[in-house]
Amino acid sequence: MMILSQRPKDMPLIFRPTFKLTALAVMIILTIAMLLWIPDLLSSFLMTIILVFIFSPAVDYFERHGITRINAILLVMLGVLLGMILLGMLLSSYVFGEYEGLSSRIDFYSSMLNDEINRRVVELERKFGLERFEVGQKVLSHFQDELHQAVLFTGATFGTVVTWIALVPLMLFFFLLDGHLIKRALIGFLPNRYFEMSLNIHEKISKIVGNFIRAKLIESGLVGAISLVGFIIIGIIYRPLNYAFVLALLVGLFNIIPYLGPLIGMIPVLLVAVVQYVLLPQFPEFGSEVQVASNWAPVAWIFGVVTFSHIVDNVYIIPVLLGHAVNVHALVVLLSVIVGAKLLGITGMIISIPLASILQTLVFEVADGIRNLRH
Amino acid sequence: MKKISALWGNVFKQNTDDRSIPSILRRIPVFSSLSKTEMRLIEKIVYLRNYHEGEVIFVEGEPGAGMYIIESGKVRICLGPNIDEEHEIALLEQGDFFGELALIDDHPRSATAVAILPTRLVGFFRSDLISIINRSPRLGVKLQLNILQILVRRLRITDQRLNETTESLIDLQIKLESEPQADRPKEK
Repeated sequence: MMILSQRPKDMPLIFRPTFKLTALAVMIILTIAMLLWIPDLLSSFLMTIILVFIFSPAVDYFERHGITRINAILLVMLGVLLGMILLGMLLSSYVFGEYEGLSSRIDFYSSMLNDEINRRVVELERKFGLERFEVGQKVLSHFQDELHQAVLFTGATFGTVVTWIALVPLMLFFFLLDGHLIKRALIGFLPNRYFEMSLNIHEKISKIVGNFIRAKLIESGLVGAISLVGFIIIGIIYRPLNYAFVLALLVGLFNIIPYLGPLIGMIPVLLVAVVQYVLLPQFPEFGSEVQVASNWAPVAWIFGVVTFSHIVDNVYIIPVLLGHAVNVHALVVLLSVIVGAKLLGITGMIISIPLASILQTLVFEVADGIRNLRH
Repeated sequence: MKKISALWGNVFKQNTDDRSIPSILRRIPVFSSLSKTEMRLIEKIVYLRNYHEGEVIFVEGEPGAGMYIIESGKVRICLGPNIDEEHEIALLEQGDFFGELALIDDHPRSATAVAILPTRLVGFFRSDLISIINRSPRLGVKLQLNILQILVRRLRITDQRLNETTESLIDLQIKLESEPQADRPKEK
């Protein structure tokens, strides 16, 4: 009686499963080594993977309407470039001005807050006769550094950005054009026993991760938009919130990080609001020559608007957009955010989430596939 | 082919000696109606896999990924974990195809396929079919229609065999009822 998994000795070397697996492992190790060795190549590569998931549906759409794939890719990339230029022209003076202002002022803002807290601590010391609160000082100083990094995105240095601009569009073009050939070549290296399983895993990962990344992008855009509308309304009622556009952008961007993102995104918003409306209401930068009294009400409203945007997100947006997408486990989120922050700062924290979803899906699907093979 | 299974046997077989991939693909009902340009696209998508004698292609119960066309060699289709001749339900040769149901969904394979000679297969998979549907709906519709025609034909054959089996059972029942009580084997 013949049983499964027979293997003749005279099989050509290149068809042997051990050879194929070794060749694949060597290729993967060399690729990882190269990515880690060349500075910024890893972040460019990861960014490209995320962008491939975002742009693929648009390229497929144009191809579906009779445009060749290469032209469809060029069309999408040129469209994005033109869109960025137009948006830049329309909003550059406003957004970049805001960003520049916020970047240059963030240390001042946090030191203002620091001083204010210090003043309160001294008051408490006097009142209760306590020793100086050294730990609190250290925490505040650390907080100031972190905040500076958060707003300036120091994880993405000038060099990194230049590398991204040079490499990402190029890699994106080839990944969109020949992605299926790369997949075919990699899967071709797998032994026959794991061939079908890998195809099934690839199919599921592409679907789940693609949906997740696109849904996260839309979700963050909506959260940022709700916050911006709220900031504008509050600005009309009280005084315009400084850097409203950039702050709403940060709320949306940080919202990509589940659990922690809403809290991180809230920090710069509250900092600016507290300094502007409470600590320094008469500061000349805010355009008020007239003395204005401190007011906690707009700060409370701003806090309310950001909280409201996250409630809408959790109650309406997430169930609709991410209902069928992969749910990244809280522990995975925490670990990936820590690793991402360590490697690439704030940028790393944000791109770590889609990457964690890829990794989580990969682990679950491979485990599932191996279980199926055993049965 | 020794035995013909409505699901696994090749009921579409045509005899020809041309062994190039496009000509092999063209003989398969899934690709028979495609133009030269469309066939070139399919050629770029399909996978070529080599199996040695006795190597399993897929196992019953595993999720299916797509269909295979035999470029050279022989493939035995068996039910259950044993892949000997006794459990064979179909023996497929060059130009035959199998596993096309997996193009529709990832339902577990209903049989095991094993190469009984050094075999070269052309694989066409569901993820690539979905990609074609997204990128080129016209070609996607052609392929889907062809797959549907295969399934309809297999369904008709199954239906016909079911009718034949039902008729045989009815005849047997009538025969049994007409026989005298004493001639019937005693139930234990």
